[in-house]
Amino acid sequence: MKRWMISLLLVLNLIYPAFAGVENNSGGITISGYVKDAENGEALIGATVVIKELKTGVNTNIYGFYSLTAPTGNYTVSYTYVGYTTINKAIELKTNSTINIELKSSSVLLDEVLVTTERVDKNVKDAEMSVSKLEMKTIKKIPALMGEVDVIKTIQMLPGVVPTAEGTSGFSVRGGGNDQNLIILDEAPVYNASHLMGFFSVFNNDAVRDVTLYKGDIPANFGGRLSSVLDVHMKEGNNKKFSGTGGVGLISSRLTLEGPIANEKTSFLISGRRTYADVVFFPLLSDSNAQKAILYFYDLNLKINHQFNENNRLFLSAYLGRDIFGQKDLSSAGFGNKTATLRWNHQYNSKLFSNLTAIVSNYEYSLKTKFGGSNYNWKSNLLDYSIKADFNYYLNSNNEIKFGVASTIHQLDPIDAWIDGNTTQYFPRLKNSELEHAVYISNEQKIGEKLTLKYGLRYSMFQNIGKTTLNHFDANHNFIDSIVYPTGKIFNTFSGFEPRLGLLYTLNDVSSIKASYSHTIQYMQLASVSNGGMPLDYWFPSSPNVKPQSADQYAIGYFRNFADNKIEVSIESFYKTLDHVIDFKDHAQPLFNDRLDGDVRTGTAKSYGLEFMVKKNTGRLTGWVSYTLSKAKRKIPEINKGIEYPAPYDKPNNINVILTYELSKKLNFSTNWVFASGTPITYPIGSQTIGNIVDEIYSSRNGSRARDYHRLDISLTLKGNDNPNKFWHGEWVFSLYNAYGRHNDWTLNMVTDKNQPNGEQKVLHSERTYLPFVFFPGITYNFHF
Amino acid sequence: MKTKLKSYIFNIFGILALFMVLQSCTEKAEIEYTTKYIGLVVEGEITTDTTVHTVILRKSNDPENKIPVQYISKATVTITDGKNIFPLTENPDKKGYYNTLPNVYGIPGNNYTLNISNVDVNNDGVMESYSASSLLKNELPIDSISFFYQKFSSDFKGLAVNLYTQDIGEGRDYYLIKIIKNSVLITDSLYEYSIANNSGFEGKYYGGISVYFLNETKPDELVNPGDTVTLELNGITEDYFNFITGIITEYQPKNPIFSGPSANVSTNLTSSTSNNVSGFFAAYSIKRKTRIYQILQLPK
Repeated sequence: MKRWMISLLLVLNLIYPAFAGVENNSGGITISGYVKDAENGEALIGATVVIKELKTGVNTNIYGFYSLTAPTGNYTVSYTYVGYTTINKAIELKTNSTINIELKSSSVLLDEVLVTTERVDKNVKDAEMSVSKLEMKTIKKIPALMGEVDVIKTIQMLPGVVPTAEGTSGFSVRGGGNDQNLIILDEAPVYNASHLMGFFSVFNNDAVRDVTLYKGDIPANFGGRLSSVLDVHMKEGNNKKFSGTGGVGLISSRLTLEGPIANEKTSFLISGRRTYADVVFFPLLSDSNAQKAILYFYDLNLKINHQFNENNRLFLSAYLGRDIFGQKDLSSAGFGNKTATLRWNHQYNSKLFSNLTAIVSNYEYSLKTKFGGSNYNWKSNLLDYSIKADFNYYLNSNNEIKFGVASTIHQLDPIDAWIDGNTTQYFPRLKNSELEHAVYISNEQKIGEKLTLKYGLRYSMFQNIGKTTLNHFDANHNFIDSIVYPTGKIFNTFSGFEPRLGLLYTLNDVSSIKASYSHTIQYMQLASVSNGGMPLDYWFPSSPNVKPQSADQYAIGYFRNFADNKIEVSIESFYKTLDHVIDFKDHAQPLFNDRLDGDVRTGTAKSYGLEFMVKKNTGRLTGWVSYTLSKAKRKIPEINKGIEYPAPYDKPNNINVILTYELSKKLNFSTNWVFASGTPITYPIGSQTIGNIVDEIYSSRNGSRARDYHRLDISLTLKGNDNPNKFWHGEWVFSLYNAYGRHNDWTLNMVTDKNQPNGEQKVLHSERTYLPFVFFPGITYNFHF
Repeated sequence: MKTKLKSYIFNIFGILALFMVLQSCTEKAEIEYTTKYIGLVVEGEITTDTTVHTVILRKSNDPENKIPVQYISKATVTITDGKNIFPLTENPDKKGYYNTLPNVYGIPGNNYTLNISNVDVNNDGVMESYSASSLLKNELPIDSISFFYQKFSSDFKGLAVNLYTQDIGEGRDYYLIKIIKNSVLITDSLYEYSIANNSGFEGKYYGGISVYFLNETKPDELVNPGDTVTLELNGITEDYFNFITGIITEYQPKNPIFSGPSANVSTNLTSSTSNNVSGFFAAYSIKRKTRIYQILQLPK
């Protein structure tokens, strides 16, 4: 670990001097600064800064920083952000200067924003594609199960995204697996983003500022997953005044407090949430087992940031979440994530901005149960330490260069089991450690008024290090023997280049064509055989037995705005191929399996499709309608006799309709309707009797399809008097989930028929299981002060 | 033992399953299945017991098992250890059941092969033949057993049967555990089998690890003081372990959270004349330990 950190610091020492002293004015004079919200001091990400006379501009980065270079002269600089009043500032550009701007929100517009596009024509003019950005005020308007609005449940309603199973927080992007999504909270990876088996995600709405999902065209600074990046940022904390936000729902409540500490240079945010079904409802149940049940979760977000001066700012953010469940006096279990991120923003000069980050991320679970007179214990732990440095170099108004370096040490301890009072270690410690490094550089280059190119290169490296045990298998996956590598021994290295390319060709002020290509590599994967995933799933690394997965994705799209940019239309087509895709042999048992890599089967996969989306961002009616037509297939030699089969998340047709209508200033009506083709399923072609058991005989994997899924949700938001002078502002949200009571297939099983026409012979029939959320109401009271 | 501990863990997760599954609703689904599979289903075994060993031959059925199960009669069935051939004759009272003579027994270390011929399962007029081989694994002697009464809930309470023995420690071994109460086999279904391997236990002492739980809410599993309980520890092959795992996995209801995709259960039956064969022929060793249940039980 020490050697790893020293190596990384040496690399950083090489990079810093190369740019830190450079402030080349040959390309013109540079203005730089931050764009923030005047009300709370939050950075405005993606705000547009444009020199009107030159028709050139930039977007602020995730810290609200911008840098813009132009020849000397007198200009009008426009600062815009949707939902905020634009500021036009006349400047005389003679010398490099810093201009910090605070934009005031427009309360009229604020309520109308649904899916935010920071600039009204961003859909057309920005080079990035296959990306969706959401703000919490958007998400809070969408009807939700039990009134508990959720980041990931909203993500699941975007084109190209489908839930892995109803009610879960897992999602598949463009046919990819649940573990192919990189989920990061303030740059820290979150390895299990679900609470209560996925009915909630780990993201507390009140602590989150914005969410970005990259479905393709993944920027070079992200890596390690094939399908998507879900980039979640916590609020920074109001540095203007002390304020609070919260809500009381049927099964959970939440409270967020934020404000300045001493002065505007330091602010904090603390946010907590807990469910209370175990306290309120379980004791009321007549079932004695239910009365003994323990089942709840809590999470806590914390953030502190301090601005030392114009050039230096420090952020500390942390998350702690845990699910607790079990039975009183008998068993207990818990699982959860812990993350902490320390970031140092440093502005070397008006053109070079850096962010140095140290990250700790942990996912662990532990279980304890009494059985047969003994106490059995089991725990599993994944711990990451990361350090990374990211730089934005604004070479001139036509080139924005990003580069950086990152390194992570993964420490995995998937199984550690013991019996109380017994010193024997009953399960072998399968501890393993890995190093994952990356360097990247990218540039967004404007060539003339119509063409913008994006190109980047990421180089990643992954190393298995001791102490660990490596199994050896023959060609038929039979175990031969194993070898123990000593502590610190690097016994295997994978590496690869991950190029990224993008193109924007602006046809006119309201339409453009975009294209992109990306190659991504994934070195860590989830040991799970189910679609939905469960908390006991654990991550395992690439190794000599399991090659890294890789993907190539090509996308092209046409983007067109109508009605003065009020309506955005986009159509994107993608084609994705994947190598070394992982599946498991039939009936694999990942838990307690010290030879798991022998159960892994690898092959190829591909997915392709069309995503069509219409969004309306302003007016009384806002929302989006999307349609996705896609296919996702896998081909693995040892599965399905080597014949290509539909991927588990292959849903060829997917429609999402999300609409909000402002009935009055105090009353909003929202609805969403989702439709998806049925999940691929393996139907039997025969049955066999073994003893007194009847089991099914199957032909091809996923050869059939369950019924189509569709559901309508509605909600009504009733706001109180919106007098800005009032201390307390509240609103009631009434929701109805699955409003027309569709019995969607959660699972299909063959069960024994109660009527047995053939005596003792068991006749079966197919039985549909559906979740009980039919005509399911919810009520939530939200407030802020 | 790996599989038992996992089952304990799932007992805890039953709380979450309660939340997810028990709160869910079910209804009959009308699905039109395509029935195009016709094959032989074999269920056979030979053990270290000196007794009649049976092989059962059935024909596969439609997906809903609506048609009365058809047994395959008049087949030629033998078991051989490479030196000796043990012919099996069809039980005149039970069609499709083929028995050895009562003096046959298996020997640990021998490889046993089942041969089946003279059958035409798909009625195409061409006779088919099938075979399967299974190594008879060594026995694991049992030092002792003990009982521990435990109540998990009102409908899950009874006796845990604990095992004391030394693992051989020569690689990965697989076990099948059966329970006999007062000379009556309690584990009379594959679904009730307990299977385990010695992952993590190689060479270690099983100092009272629970290997079976007799749930007294099931009438046949209620154990009263004075009852005789026998633990039967069978040494099985990895293939048979995988077969039982597959059978139980496919028999249990599936859901998107805990279950993998449906798949055919593995088989060790092969045929040069037909691809459609399922089931298993198992050879395994048997060791037993019997104890009378008394209220206070301490390990011997």
